[in-house]
Amino acid sequence: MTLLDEARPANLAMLSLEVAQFYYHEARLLDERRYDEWIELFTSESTYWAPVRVTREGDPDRMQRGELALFDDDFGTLELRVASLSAKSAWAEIPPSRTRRLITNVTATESDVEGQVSATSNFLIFRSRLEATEHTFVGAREDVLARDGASWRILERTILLDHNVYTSDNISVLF
Amino acid sequence: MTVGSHLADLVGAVQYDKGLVARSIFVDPEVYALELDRIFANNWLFLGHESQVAEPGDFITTYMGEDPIIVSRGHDGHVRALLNACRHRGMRVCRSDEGNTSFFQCPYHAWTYSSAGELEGVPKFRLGYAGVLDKKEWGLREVTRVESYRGFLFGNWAPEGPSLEEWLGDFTTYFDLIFARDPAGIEVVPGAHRWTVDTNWKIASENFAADMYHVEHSHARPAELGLMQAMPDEGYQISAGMGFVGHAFTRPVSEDAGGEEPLHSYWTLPNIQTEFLAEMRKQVAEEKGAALARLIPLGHGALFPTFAFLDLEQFRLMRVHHPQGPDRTLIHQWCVLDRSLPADVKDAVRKQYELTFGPAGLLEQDDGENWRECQNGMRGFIGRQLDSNMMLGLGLEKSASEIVGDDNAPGVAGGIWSEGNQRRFYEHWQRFMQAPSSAPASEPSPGRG
Ligand code: FES
Ligand SMILES: [Fe+2]
Repeated sequence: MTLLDEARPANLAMLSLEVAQFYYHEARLLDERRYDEWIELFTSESTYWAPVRVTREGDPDRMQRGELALFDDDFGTLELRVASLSAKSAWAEIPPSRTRRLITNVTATESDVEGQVSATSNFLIFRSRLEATEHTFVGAREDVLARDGASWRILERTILLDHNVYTSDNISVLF
Repeated sequence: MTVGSHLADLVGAVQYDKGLVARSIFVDPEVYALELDRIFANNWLFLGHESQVAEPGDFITTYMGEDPIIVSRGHDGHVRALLNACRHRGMRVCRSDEGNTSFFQCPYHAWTYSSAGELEGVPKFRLGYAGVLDKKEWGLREVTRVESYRGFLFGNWAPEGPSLEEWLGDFTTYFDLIFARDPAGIEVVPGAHRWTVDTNWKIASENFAADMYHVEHSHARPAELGLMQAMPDEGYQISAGMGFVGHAFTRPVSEDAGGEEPLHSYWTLPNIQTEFLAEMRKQVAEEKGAALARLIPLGHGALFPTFAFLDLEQFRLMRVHHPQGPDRTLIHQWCVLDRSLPADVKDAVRKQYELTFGPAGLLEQDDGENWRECQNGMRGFIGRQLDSNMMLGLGLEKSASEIVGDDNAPGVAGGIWSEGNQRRFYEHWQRFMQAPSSAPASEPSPGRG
C-alpha cells in the first residue's frame, strides 16, 4: 500500500467533515430564515430539482428530467422562491414556522472536475406551525459543490423526498 | 341511508339562494358520512385521462370518495374501474400508483384477478372450497358506470341517473374550449402532485368553482413579486350544465399575440403559449365564433363535486379533491399540455406550473394555509352553528349569453366579484344530499355455490 492510498481515506474523511460543516451552516441559514445569505450559496448557473416520487409497478426508482417535479428551478426561479418567503403576504409563513433541519450521512467525493465534489446527505426537516400543526419532510440530497475559498457553492442540487403524498397542507420550506 | 331529523336539519340549513351556507356541513361527521353515500356514490367522479391507461394492462389507481379504485385497461382493450379491495378479506390488491400488469394478485392469500377484475386464481380451490366457489361471482367489484368524454374518464356507482354527457350538459361548450381546443388532444405530464390539506373537501372545491374574490389578497405574494398584476374589475364567472366554470380575465397584456383578439391574463409570467393559443383561438373562432374563442384560456373552474381545473396562458392543470374525512382533503393534481405544443414550450409550461401551483407553488402554498385555518375556525361548538356568507354578487347575475355577447354561451353568469358559482355549488350539494342515492350500497353476497 502506498502512502497515497493510506492518505486517501483520511482525505475523504476530512472532505466529508468539511462538507458536513458547510451543510450545518446552510441548515442554520434556512432555520433562521436568513434567505438572502442562503441564496448566496448558489451561482447563476445553479439548478435545484426535486422530482415527484411515484410508486410505479416494476419501476419504483424511475425519476426523469422532464417529468413532474416539486421543484425544477434555475437560479432565477430559486431567487423568486426566496424572495416570496420574505414577502409581506407570504401567508403560509406568517407568522413564520419554526423549522429544524437535521443533516446526516454526509459523504463527499472528489469529482473529475477540478475544485468540485459530489456530496450526498440525508435530511429530516421538522416544521412546527402556529400551535400543534406539525409537518416532517425526510429525504436525501445529491449535490455538486464547487469550492469557493473557504466555503462551497451549490452548483446542482437534487432533492429526493421520500414522500409520495405530502401530508403537509403545503410546502413552504426549502431543502 | 335514512336521514334523522338532526341531519335533515343540518342539510336543510343551507340557504344558498340567500347566500347562507351552514358551517356544520363542513365539520359534522354525520353530514360527511351522508356525503359519501349521496354525493360520492351517486355522481360522476373523475378517474383519469385515457392516455394514462393507453395500452392493455395499463392501470392507474385513484379514489372515488374514500374507496380506492383501480382504473385498468383490460387485455380486451376495455377500460374499467375496479374497487381496489380483495373480495376475500378486503386487502388492496394493487398498491402502486401506476404500471402495467397482466393480473392483480392479492398479497394476503393470493387470490388473483385479471386486468378486467375477474377472479381467476384461488389457492386450495379444490381442497378448501371443494371446487365449488363460483369465481364469476367473486371478481373485483366493478364501478357501475364508466364513461369517457373527450378522453376524460369518469365513474359513477349509481346505475340510474344522467349519462356523463347529460351530466356535463351545456358545460361541454366550455369543457371543449379548455380540453379539446387542440385537434391533437391533450397529454398529461407523467407524475402527479399529491398532497393533503387539513380542510373539508368542499372548501377546496368551491374555491376552484370560482373564487376570484380571494385572488387579490390570498395571492398578494406573487403580486408583490411582480408576477401578477392587480386584479381587474372586469371579468365574469359562469355556471352551466351540472358543472361549473369560474371564468375571469383582465385587460389585454399580450397585444403582440398575433391573433385577432389580444390574449388576456392577470399574470406577468412570460406568456409562453401565446402564439399557440392565438392559433387555437383562430381555429376555434372559425368553427364556433369569435366570442367563444375569446374565452381561451378559460380560467379556473370545477365540475361538481371534486374535479377542478385552471387554464391560464402560462399553464393548465387539472385536479381532484378526494375527501378523507370531514377535515382532510387529498389532492391529486396534474399538468395538462396540448399535444401540438412544441417540446420546448411544453417544458416551459410544466415549469411555470411547478413554480406556481404545485404544493410548493408560490400561489398554492397560501391556499393550503388558508383552507386549513377555515376548518379550524369552524370546528368548535359555537363556530359550527354560524353561517358562511356567500352573498357576493347576489342578485346581480345574468345569462351567460348576455355577458359573453354570444347566444351560444350557455349558463348563468355573474361578474368577476361574485360567489354565484359557489351558490350553485351548494345548490347542487343540497339537492343531492336531500335525494336518496341510487347507489347499490349493499348487494347481498353470493353463496358458496
Ligand atoms: S385478502 Fe386477498 S386473498 Fe385474502
Ligand atoms: Fe388560490
